[in-house]
Amino acid sequence: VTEVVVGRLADFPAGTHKVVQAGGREIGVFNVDGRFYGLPNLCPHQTGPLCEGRAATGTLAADAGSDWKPRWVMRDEVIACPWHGLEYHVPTGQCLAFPEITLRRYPVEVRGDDVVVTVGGRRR
Amino acid sequence: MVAELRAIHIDLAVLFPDHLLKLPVLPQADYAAALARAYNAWLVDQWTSRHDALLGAIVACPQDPDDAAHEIERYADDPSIVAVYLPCAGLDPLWGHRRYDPIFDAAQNARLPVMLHSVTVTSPVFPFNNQGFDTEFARHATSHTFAIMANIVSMVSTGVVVRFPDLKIGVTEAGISWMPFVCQRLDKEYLERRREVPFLTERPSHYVKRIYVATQPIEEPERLRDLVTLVELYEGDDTTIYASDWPHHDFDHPMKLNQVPFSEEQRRKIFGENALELFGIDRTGSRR
Repeated sequence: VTEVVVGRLADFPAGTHKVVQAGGREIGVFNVDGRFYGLPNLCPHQTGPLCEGRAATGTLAADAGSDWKPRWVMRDEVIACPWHGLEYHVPTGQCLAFPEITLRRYPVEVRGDDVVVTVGGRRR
Repeated sequence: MVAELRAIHIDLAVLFPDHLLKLPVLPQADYAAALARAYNAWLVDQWTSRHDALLGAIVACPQDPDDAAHEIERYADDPSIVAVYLPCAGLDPLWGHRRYDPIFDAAQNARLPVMLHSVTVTSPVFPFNNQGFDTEFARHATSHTFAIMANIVSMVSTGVVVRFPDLKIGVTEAGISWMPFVCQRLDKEYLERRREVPFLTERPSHYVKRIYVATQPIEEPERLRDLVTLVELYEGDDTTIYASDWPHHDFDHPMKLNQVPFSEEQRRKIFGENALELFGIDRTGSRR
């Protein structure tokens, strides 16, 4: 297990994300309204640079509750791979199209002014 | 009719209308609805109520979905009516449009499957704008299958398959070889465009594979065993149904499909058990 300081808190304003290097990996660090998440910068679909996509956004859902019309959900929690647009829920790593795909998640902590990513831990 | 069907080894037949295949192209909605009502009454009165071996599909008039829903309610408990026929030739808009929801709602409530069936026409309406072809060879090769593919893609992409989860859907007269294509193609599109169909909770192909597929006009590849592979590709052991299209010129004698090297279990399902399940028919030939 390796803990890596990947930047200062000020480098990750809320609503943004950035790709950092930690333990030989490229990791996307996301600040979703003060909650921090780390995901691999590698889409399991066709190896696209997943976390180099534009800002995390919400996405569309529809069900009987919305009379099957689309509504905006998961605000600021969804990243779409810039290659093919496959969407992932940042807090859980869950692929929205294919339930069988879940991304590895790297713990991200804020310690004082430092943003710390843990790599090499057990997969969760 | 019963004797002629027996001659091709059909014990139990579900009748579809012939001359109403092009019902959707009629411009007058009231007239189209009246024709549908007349056909349904005639079908029961003259045929299905008189012969145990004949069951029927009532026609739903797409121009007047509320009237069609009323017709479905009218025949919901008729023991000789086992399906609702959805004509596709020249249909505009396609069956996925929400204007048709009353039909799907009524069919689901009546526990009657809906059966899509097309025919070759030339019309400005997609996918029948086939005037680019010189020959019936080309038009007929494409029109039946394209119509079914277009309507299935429509019903998946507008969410009919999730809005009516207990509705059974069947398709006829398009063969089977397009099924793997539609499954694969929709799954591929879903990668990038899930947001446009956010009501789907599974891969699109999962919904497509639940659709019952009637075999006629069964493809006749040089290697007949390719048909076994095709069924395997859409996991169709429980959803593939022999259909004859009798008495049309291009009907399939069951002998042809029986030559395909299916297993005995597949054969039993395709030649009867799957149809009994789709149409809700018990082993005595009555509707469950």
